[in-house]
Amino acid sequence: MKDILQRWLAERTQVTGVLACGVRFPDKTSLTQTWSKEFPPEPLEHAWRCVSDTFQVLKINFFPNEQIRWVYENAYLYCGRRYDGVCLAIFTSKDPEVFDPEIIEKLMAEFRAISGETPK
Amino acid sequence: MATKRTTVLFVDDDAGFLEVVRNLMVAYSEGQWDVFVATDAAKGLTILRDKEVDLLVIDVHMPVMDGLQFLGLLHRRYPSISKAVLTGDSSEPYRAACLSNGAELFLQKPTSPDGWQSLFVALNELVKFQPEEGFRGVLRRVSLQDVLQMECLARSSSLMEISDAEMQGSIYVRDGQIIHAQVGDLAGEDAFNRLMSLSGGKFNLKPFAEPPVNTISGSWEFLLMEAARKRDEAQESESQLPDWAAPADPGIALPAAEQEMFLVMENRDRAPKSIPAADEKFRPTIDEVLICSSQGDVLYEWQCADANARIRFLQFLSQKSWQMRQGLPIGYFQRLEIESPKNRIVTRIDPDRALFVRTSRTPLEF
Repeated sequence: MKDILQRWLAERTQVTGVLACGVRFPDKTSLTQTWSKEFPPEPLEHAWRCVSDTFQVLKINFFPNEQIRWVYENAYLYCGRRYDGVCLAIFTSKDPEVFDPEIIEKLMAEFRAISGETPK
Repeated sequence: MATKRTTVLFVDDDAGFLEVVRNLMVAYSEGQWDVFVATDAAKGLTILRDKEVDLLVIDVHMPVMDGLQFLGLLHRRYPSISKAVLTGDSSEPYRAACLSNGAELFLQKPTSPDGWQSLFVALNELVKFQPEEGFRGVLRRVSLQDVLQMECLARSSSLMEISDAEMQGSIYVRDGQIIHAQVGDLAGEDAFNRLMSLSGGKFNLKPFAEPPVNTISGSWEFLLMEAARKRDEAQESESQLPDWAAPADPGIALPAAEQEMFLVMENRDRAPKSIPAADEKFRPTIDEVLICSSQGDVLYEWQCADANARIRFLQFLSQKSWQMRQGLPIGYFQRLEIESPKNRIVTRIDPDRALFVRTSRTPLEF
């Protein structure tokens, strides 16, 4: 599963406006794919941990948590969680000229549909 | 240049474990850590009053005081100290509850030499990852008055710098006595009362420095009481709810344009379909609203079933949103949007207040 997701991140997330993304697994391991030199792996891995913690805290507070978006001054962070507890997080630009939010729809749908088989 | 030493406090009811942990942490840190241990919550609180602790590591399964309660209490009283939970119970709900109550790390007790080394590395990383100075941008359920009271009770010497958007002032405490205050042209008790009347802003506790002049000689208890009285009087004469906090009528679904203003706080954002700003087929209805100050005081609430839980969540969010941006060029946190097919939650955290709004989507009738 991790290999599949690693390949999916490398092949499918290189989209204009996507700055970096990652996947965090319930066993606390993570995968990171960065498309900007300003988004180095180490702080990103820390961010993925924060994302995973947030989903857990949302759950115990009985908040809906299918998809969340963090809005920062210079970027969005879109996060989704699968039924098996695997989380996807995607940092994107906020500039509407370079980033189409519908891309996130597609990526989230693909992420949720990925099974143990090789994704199309 | 001397390296800053790290002070760590372990609280656990197992004295044998504490002895081992103290020896190993001192050894792994090559003497850079001062490790204190306490076998119960009361002893831990005594050490916290006497020492400047950088990191607190607690076992939340202890007798007498419920561990989660203790963690929550510590988080309110000592918000700037990093906290980690060390336990044998690693279930996901328990982990989430600890995180929700202020723990930044949730670790299992080691059972092997590698485990001890990993524990040290994780705790050391947490210590290095301290929040930026002061309380800015981080919701803290502790007031300026609480901190000042603790400083006086502990007979500490410190300099408290206080500011909001309009002013900047200082309060000097020497050996537990308030000896000087200044803000703008004011000095002495007038300045003290002015600073204590601020409803928002930030404050930093700094090492003591001699004031230019001593202007206050009364007892700190009287000063704090008098400041609280004056503040209450001032609040009574003001409207309870600021204009910006008043929804038109939360019981009625607002017109679409107003909803959009309330829920989408940056109209330049272009939201994706999954996080809609406004929906043509559904009308958002506000189900719950909470607005609180940076000290965690409720400023306004409407249909909020558990305001404390919401405030804890906002505290958690404030902490995580700050941690998340470390090392990344993403700027300041503005808000979090939580989406499901039927509900939407928007939270916003500003330096002086935080907002929580939960809405549901009602299908429009044609």
